[in-house]
Amino acid sequence: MKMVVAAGTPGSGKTSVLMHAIRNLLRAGRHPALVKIDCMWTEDDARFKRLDVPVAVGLSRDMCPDHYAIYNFDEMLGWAAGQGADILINETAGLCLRCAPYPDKALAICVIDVTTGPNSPLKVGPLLTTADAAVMTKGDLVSQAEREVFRERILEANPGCRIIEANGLTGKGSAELAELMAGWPDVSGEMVLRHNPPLAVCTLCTGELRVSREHHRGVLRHLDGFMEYIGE
Amino acid sequence: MSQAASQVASQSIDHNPQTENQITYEIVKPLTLTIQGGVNKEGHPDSVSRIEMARGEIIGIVGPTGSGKSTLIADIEQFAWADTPSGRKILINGQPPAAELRCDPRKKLVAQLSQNMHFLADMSVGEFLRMHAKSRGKDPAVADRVIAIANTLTGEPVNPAFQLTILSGGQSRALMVADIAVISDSPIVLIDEIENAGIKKQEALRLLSGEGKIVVVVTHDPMLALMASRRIVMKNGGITRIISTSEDEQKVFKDIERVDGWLATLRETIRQGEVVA
Repeated sequence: MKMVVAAGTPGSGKTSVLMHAIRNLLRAGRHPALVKIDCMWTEDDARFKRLDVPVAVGLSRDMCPDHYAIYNFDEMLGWAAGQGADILINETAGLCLRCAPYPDKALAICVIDVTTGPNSPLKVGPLLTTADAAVMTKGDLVSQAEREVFRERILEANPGCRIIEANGLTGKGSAELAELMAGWPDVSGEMVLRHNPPLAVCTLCTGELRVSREHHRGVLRHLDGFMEYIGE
Repeated sequence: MSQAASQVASQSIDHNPQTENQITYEIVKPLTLTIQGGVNKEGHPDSVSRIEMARGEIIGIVGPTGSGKSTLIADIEQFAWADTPSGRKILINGQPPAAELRCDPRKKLVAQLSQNMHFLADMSVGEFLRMHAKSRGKDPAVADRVIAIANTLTGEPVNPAFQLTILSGGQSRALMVADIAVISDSPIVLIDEIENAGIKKQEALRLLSGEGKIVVVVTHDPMLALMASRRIVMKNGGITRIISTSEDEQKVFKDIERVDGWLATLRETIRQGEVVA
């Protein structure tokens, strides 16, 4: 079983790019299965189901969607195997830029929207810096010069990554992406994350609604960068 | 067309010898670009199954709105390999292009001037051009030359300290043209509807068509269409025929050029707030 984790900010075109890649995988005789992780609601599963591939949805609700995905990777792999799949594709919710839910042995893909401007590759953090491939979308909306500057910025953030220029509308780049997925080694044995998740629990995580500082405990960081532990 | 071979031989490879940029030109010295036909919007095959272009040639793409002109340009730009809706394939020197030619800007053979009239990047003109030069393996100091050339194409001068996002459509377009001429400097240039740009269009085309480049220009403009040696006719997403510019058409071109020159003078007179004599 091969595993692909596709991350990227909301609206960057993850679903559209993956749909084209799945079509290419199917044409190549592969059996992809897809798990879409979201927080409250999604209709992406209906889009994927049109491709006639096994689709499952996980809604994280009160849990951080990336932590939720990481916690459930074993179950996803088991489900995909049960569906007769040979490639598990996990599309993440793509919200917080602090986590990167990439296990070391999976193919880690960061989908990134060119129209967000050339500074965005520097803002995306571990989602981009620890990815194997960066998929640039919406390149048709900017000039070639801007695409090339964006590309340079991605390489500044992640010098080793493979860059694929894709278009979610026309399917450009999807053949290259599918080839990369199909050629990735199988996952096996114990996997570890490529990047540490954010520091642990504070009172907000357990449901505190009051805003003022006096109500909070845990490992907390001040605006000026000072970090401290407050509690028992 | 006949000049193409001699221009191939004289193609310079030392724009910036201290970078690896020269590799690009060594790989591709004699360059032909081939379009292998695909299908139109209904899945019927293109009427022309193979089009070859050589260095020094200007090729037009014509057809009504929605006929697939921009799609054909996009096929060439991304070196389609039956992986776009048209199913077309693009060959370089008769061979499928290597993946690095598709992706790595330093090795990229294609420069494109698209219909986009504005920049979205929140950077200054100078900073942007220096970064683009870096991505193409060029000396960042060429930024000043790009701006100087852009200012010969547009009425309102561009300043390196300007933010890209405040530039007018004409300024943006002029900058994109100059950027392609100086920084991108690839042997294949794709131009999409330069006539809408609000810049001096023939000067822009002349600048871009430079020596020994393959220039593909999408156009509705009779003058630009007739500057091309051949033009590809599009309909309903497919290629329907290829027209070679005849001697009669070249005579018409001379007439249009005269009229266009006259109109340009009138436009300038009006712009300067003077009375047309």
